[in-house]
Amino acid sequence: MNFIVKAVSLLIYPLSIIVRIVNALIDNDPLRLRRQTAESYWIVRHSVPSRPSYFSEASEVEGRRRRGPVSLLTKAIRLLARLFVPPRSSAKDEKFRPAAERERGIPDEVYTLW
Amino acid sequence: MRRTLPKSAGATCVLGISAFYHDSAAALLVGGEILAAAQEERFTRKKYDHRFPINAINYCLKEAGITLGDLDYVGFYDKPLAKFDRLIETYVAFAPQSFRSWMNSIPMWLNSKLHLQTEMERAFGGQYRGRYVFADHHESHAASAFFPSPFQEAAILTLDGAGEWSTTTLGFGRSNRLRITHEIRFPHSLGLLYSAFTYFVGFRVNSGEYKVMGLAPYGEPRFKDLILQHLIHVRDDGSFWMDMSYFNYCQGMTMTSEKFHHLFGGPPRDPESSISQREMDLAASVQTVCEDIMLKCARHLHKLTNSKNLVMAGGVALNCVGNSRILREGPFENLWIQPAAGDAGAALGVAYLVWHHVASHPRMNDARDLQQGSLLGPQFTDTEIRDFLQGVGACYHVFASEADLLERVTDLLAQEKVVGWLNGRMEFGPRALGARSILGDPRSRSMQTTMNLKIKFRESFRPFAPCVLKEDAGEYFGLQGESPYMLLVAPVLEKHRRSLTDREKATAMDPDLRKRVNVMRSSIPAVTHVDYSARVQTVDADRHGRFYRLMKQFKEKSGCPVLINTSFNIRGEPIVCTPQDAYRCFMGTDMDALVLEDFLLMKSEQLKPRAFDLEAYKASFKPD
Repeated sequence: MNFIVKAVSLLIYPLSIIVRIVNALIDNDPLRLRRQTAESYWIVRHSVPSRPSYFSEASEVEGRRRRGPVSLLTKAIRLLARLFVPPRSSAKDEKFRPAAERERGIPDEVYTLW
Repeated sequence: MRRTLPKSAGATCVLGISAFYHDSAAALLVGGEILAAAQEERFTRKKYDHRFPINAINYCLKEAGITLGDLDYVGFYDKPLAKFDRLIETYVAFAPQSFRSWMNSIPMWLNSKLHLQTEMERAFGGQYRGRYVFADHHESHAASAFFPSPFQEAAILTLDGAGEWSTTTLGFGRSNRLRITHEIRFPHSLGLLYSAFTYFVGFRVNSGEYKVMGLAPYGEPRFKDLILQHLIHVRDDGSFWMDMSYFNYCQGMTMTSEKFHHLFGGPPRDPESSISQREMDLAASVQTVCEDIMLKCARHLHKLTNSKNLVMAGGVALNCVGNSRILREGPFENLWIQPAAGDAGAALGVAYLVWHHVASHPRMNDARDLQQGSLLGPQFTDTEIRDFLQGVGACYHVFASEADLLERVTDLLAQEKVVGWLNGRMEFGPRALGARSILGDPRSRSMQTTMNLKIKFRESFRPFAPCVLKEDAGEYFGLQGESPYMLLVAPVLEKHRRSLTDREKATAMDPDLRKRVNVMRSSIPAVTHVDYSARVQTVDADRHGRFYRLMKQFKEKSGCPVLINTSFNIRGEPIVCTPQDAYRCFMGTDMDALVLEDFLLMKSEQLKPRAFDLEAYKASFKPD
């Protein structure tokens, strides 16, 4: 399983390069990597989370609503992830071990951003 | 005494969880009251344990006398899909340099992080059948700061490394509602800037930031202008933008880039090498920049909200020097900081969000905060302790009266003995606040060295933190108000400082920082930093019970209302939780005495003090 997941990750990666090129062509800078000229770097939030949004793993307010090539890539990966859904219930004698166990050798500072 | 609020009482039970990133934790609200909260590391004995906090959850449920099936809601402290969006957006922006990072993280997301709810269902073994709630990371922080605070309305400032997109937010809370109004988004992050310098000066990120803060007073902020010109552009309103060409955390496996190293004249310090003046100056510089930004944010937030109260959370809010500048120089009259300001506290925050925003319950605050002195963890009965001590063949004294116990312990402290102190419920958050503490006499010349080398097994350039009777705090420290959670620094008053001899002045400039910090600068040298500051905890009768009475008795005996209060652990070890942990630490160090509730153990009376495998004990914890 681990090999398959890594192979899938490897196969998708070239898409990110293509999306980056598209972003460059349409002058899209979602991370604000280019220095801004605005008088303030604060981003105003105009909305508050609705009650139903608390039951969703997606956010109504964090970041902007994203469309375009990156959101397509994100959706594609999420669809692929459905192939790897863990079983809802563990076998009776299986001790729970979350798959989110980090792999060894990943620096803490980087892992916490993932 | 366990407080049991059974489900039959009809109280709504909300479990908050933070997990999978850093310092996992669980918190339980029953009927809107914090019934229990704990970090997973205390149970697994793995510092900053990021795994699903099943032990902390089990403890919370046990404390309440309920089961998973009794929970009405389970809340998770961030929104995994929003975080995933940010991650993909970042990898795209930095492709193809992001390849290595992608290959490490995306498999983890495909395997588990994109199936978080299923993961939690598996962890609960199907016993929990209620709904799962997910809150934005910074909203969880904001809730942890505002809802337990003593204020009916307050401005809210959250600062940390990164959540989903936000890294810094401004907001406002009133009654049972809070709203975030402004944000700075990833990758522009004050927390990550500080962490980049933590990495560069050779400390571990996510645990060494407090060392940078402690190192800063030794240096001059000579790199401040360089930082402001190249790394971070700061506006008057506290907002900022960072030049990512100096950093590597978006695309790589380190914090800083070659360009950063070139700017500051060389590669990061090897953690095993000695600290040079460059590192001290770097620490002073980034600390000054951080404080200035915190202060500007606070001033801007005050303009936006016109509130007299400020509450704060997020990892940067553990920067007590910055906090103190906000209190001292900022426009707010009152300041309250979530004691577990890092990600652990967000477990409490999401539980409060469920209670107020989802279940729409009103807020019932009074003049005092709801944090209960953060004594929210497990406690142990005398029977449990006696059984354990007899099981290991320990030699102990048991005191029927508290007065006799305190008399004996204060005698020991006055004789410059080092005492391990386990009393009542364990602290929630990074600080030992008198429930799991190592105590000593701050007036002692040698105490700092003794505690560092023989007990903590470290050679620290930082002094220990003092706790002081609240009513006497003004006699020793220039502190505005109280500091029950050790989140503020204050200067030692002039009258307690002593002028240095020529020899001491020379030592105060020694390249060896340990010699510098050991110069006797005041009547309480073990807790006085080189700039005469101290990270103070005020101790009061309401919050601290027996610990307060211990300090009171120490003052009566010695005339000194101050004690050294350092966390009960060795270097790299989580703070002790159980009597077993405390006993192991006691036996593995040169601590003189151990108090476990009503029991006192003297090291000199233990039959086999050296049978303990000290090296194995020390090796079991990775030094931070």
